[in-house]
Amino acid sequence: MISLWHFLGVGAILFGLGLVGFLTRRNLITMFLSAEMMLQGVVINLLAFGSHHGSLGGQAFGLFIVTVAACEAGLALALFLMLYKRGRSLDSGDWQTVREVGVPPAVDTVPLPAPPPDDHPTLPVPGRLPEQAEVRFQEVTRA
Amino acid sequence: MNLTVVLFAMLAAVTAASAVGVAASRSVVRAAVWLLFTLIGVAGVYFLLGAEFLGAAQLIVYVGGTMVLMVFGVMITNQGPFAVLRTKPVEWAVGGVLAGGLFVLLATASLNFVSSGKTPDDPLPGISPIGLSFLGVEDGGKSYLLPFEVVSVHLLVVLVAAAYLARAKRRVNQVASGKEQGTNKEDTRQEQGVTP
Amino acid sequence: MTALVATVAVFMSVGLLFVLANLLLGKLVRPNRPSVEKGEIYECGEKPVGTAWIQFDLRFYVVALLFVLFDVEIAFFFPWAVVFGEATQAADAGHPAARSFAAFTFVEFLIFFGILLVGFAYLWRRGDLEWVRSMSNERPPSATRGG
Repeated sequence: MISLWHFLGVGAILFGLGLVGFLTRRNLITMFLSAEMMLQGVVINLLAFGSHHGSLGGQAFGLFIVTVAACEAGLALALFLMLYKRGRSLDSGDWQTVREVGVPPAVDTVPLPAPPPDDHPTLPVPGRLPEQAEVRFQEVTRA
Repeated sequence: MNLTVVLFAMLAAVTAASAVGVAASRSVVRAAVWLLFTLIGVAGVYFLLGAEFLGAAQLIVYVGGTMVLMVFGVMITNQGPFAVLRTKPVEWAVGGVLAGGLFVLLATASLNFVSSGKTPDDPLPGISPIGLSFLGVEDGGKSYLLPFEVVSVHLLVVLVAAAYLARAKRRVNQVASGKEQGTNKEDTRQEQGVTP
Repeated sequence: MTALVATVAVFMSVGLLFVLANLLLGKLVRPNRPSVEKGEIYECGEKPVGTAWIQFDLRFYVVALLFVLFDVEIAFFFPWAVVFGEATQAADAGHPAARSFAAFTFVEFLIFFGILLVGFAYLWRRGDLEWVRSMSNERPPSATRGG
């Protein structure tokens, strides 16, 4: 028969694998995905205990955690996008300037390959509204 | 062999296998897709535990919303082959040992709960008690009125902050950090920024 | 709950079986004559330019973010709606206390939603919801008309 232990075991597996992913990856987005997986393990634990005691707390907590995870994803990805815009890289090792005081910088023994040239087509850049632009162009051509 | 055991074994196997996929795949896109299956499997575990609404919310919010956001993040930042960063065997060993130790610790700790008589098939409170507790009615349980209202403030803050961060801004000064070499398409895009 | 999960599992396995059976049947029946034209991404269409790893525009992200943050609210609005519906039904059945309770929950809901609408108003005001299209790197229409 399925007991509480089995559910806790699934939670522990998710948490452990998420930890492996978080520790071994350098891509910020992959690290974030692994962290989400650890969060899932935690929610399974909460819900298993809530179900074990037949109480409401686990489920309510799970709902709040789902909400917080969505918010976290939105904010974290926005931050990653900003970091990517600045450095053209998602490597977490590139952001050593934000390390703690007194910690020596980590240096790659084998340097990473250079990013490939950015020569593929992109969407049109965001800018003014077309009608405003047209008005401005007409002013320019008249003058 | 009981039906619950079979279903639990199936769900746990799907969840764990796709979790291995997340941890082992080198490409970001593949990791995201594996995580999608993990989340679906976890939603199945929620259903099995009797938390229907949480499972449904997981499917709608997490699988349908958060994963879309993550895939968009991957699409916006992807640089083709450079999205793949290799992991050294030493890092695998360190991470594996740490996580394995943690897993053994958690598993032995949770084995202590085996002796209890209750099974997780007991009916959980449904949606209506959850709603009552969110709205501040202490009906034998706890009231979650304060978290309920705080969550809305939290969502507001995230909405404003993330939109501010992700907005294409006009650069005040060209701070050329050491990383920016050559022509940078993003920079020109920022200078012709959206906001007046 | 086991019945629910079993139903879903049966549905998914039948769906998978259907797909796999069709693929297998096609593999057994169809002739195999590959050619270069058939291997192209668009067999009859434009030649693809560059790789599939296009870097998408940042504007998609803001839209997705908005979607997620308003998607999350189902986790809170749905329980509220259940409670509100039950209270209204009880009030219609003739419980005067239920009427005031329904009004109370509605006020709580309005507070929740009002706080969120502040963020929505901010985004609207700042123009994050407008999908503007740039003309700055295209030829101006007046110039092409010869004006």
